[in-house]
Amino acid sequence: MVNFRGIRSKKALEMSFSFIFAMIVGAVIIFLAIYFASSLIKTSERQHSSEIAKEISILINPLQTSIESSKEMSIELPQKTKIYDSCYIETPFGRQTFASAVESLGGKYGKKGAEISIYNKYIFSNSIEEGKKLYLFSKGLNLPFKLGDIIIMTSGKYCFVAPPENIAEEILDIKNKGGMKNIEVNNSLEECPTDSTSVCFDSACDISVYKASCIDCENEYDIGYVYKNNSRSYYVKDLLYGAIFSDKEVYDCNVKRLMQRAYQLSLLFVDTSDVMAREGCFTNIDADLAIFASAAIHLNDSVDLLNIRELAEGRDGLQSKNSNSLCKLW
Amino acid sequence: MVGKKSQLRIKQMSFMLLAAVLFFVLAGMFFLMFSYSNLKNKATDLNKQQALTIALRLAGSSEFGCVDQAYCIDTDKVIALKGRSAYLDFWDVSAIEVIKLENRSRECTLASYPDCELIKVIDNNDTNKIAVPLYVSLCRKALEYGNVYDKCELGQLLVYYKRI
Repeated sequence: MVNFRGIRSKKALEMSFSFIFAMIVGAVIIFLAIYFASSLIKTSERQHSSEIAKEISILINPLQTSIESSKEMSIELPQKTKIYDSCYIETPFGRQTFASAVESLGGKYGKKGAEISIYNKYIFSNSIEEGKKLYLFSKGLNLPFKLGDIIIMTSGKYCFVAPPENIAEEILDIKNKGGMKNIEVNNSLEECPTDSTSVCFDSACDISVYKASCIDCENEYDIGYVYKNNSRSYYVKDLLYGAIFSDKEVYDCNVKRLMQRAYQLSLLFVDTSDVMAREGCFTNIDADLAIFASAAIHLNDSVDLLNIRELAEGRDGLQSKNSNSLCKLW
Repeated sequence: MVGKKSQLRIKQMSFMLLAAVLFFVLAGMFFLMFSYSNLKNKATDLNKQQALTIALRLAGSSEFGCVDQAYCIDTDKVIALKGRSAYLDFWDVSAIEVIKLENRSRECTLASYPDCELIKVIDNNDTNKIAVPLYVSLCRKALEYGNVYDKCELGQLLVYYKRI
């Protein structure tokens, strides 16, 4: 209780001193309590975001294909989340990092969680994907042996306008299995929802796919380039989906990472063929593997993929030599 | 007398405050310890999940898989893969081993292969590691009476994860 009887009163001085002392210490305690509570909330928010990124990286594991041609899944997140996808080219395999930030009260995003590094997956997405639901599908990339799985991760809406038959069938097949519900296939641009990103073939759109001339290709869009945000990303085979659904930086980086894998696998196959030769099983493709490995590791731009494809699957490419060999390496 | 009384009250208040601060510090430490051990358990659990999903998928990879056969490991590839430093962090696990189901478990080297049972493919020298075992078929090229054929045996793929 504060006593205002007079400044000269000893009791009044005593009371006011203890009051001021209690006030200062109380304020310090309350300040510390608020400070620790808010930093604890921030830490647990960051912990939660880090857990989400790690869980996504684990949830993606079953998307790796073995005998099946493609796989699909969707991930429902507890709240609206931003996923940050960064890709780094490093020796020997490069890496991708994932971090997430969850939406907190007031629609603001919390701090980005810890970055989770992934070395053995190739995830094609925009640098920032935002939403409550993530749609994923994967396809194995054989060039000529399996280099890995191209994993596509999207959250936005896409509209494919009059795609070639094989691509339309593939997308409808994935949709029939319950995946990629964010993709529509329509016959004309007018039918596309206004909030979707349009993907056209040999015509101008948000994303345009142009084919390149190819003699020994199975389908007309097996090689070509994707024109998006005023830049070209060249693709071969199912890298088409990677070029459509990811930012150019993520795409180019992942293509280089895939080529780093191709290089390491080529070296591994040369050593494997030596082991098999001890049992009288000869492959005779060591020299071709060395040329392929050198081309793969020296890839500078996605346009070099066309040359890699020629070495891998051209008339006298690695694939035909391996197929004709008594002892196949892949 | 009054001065002594007020000094005593300040002392009392100081002790009270010290006790309150000590209480909050202890409570905070207990809370941190509890949440830290929870976090450790969660991290170990996530590592286990990761090791399991990787074990299930390894046979489908180019580094381990047999030609034209699903759920099979080509030991010719695996022995060539052993000790390649490039692959140490690739699968983000503590260790990967392939073992034939036999009474002996002699470690394989390039020289002793195939007369051995255990191939330590990757080892990151983690001390506190736990294995996720998976039964697989192990195949290799073998020569018998002038013919090369695929010799297959039953084995185990062991993917180790780190207990945090």
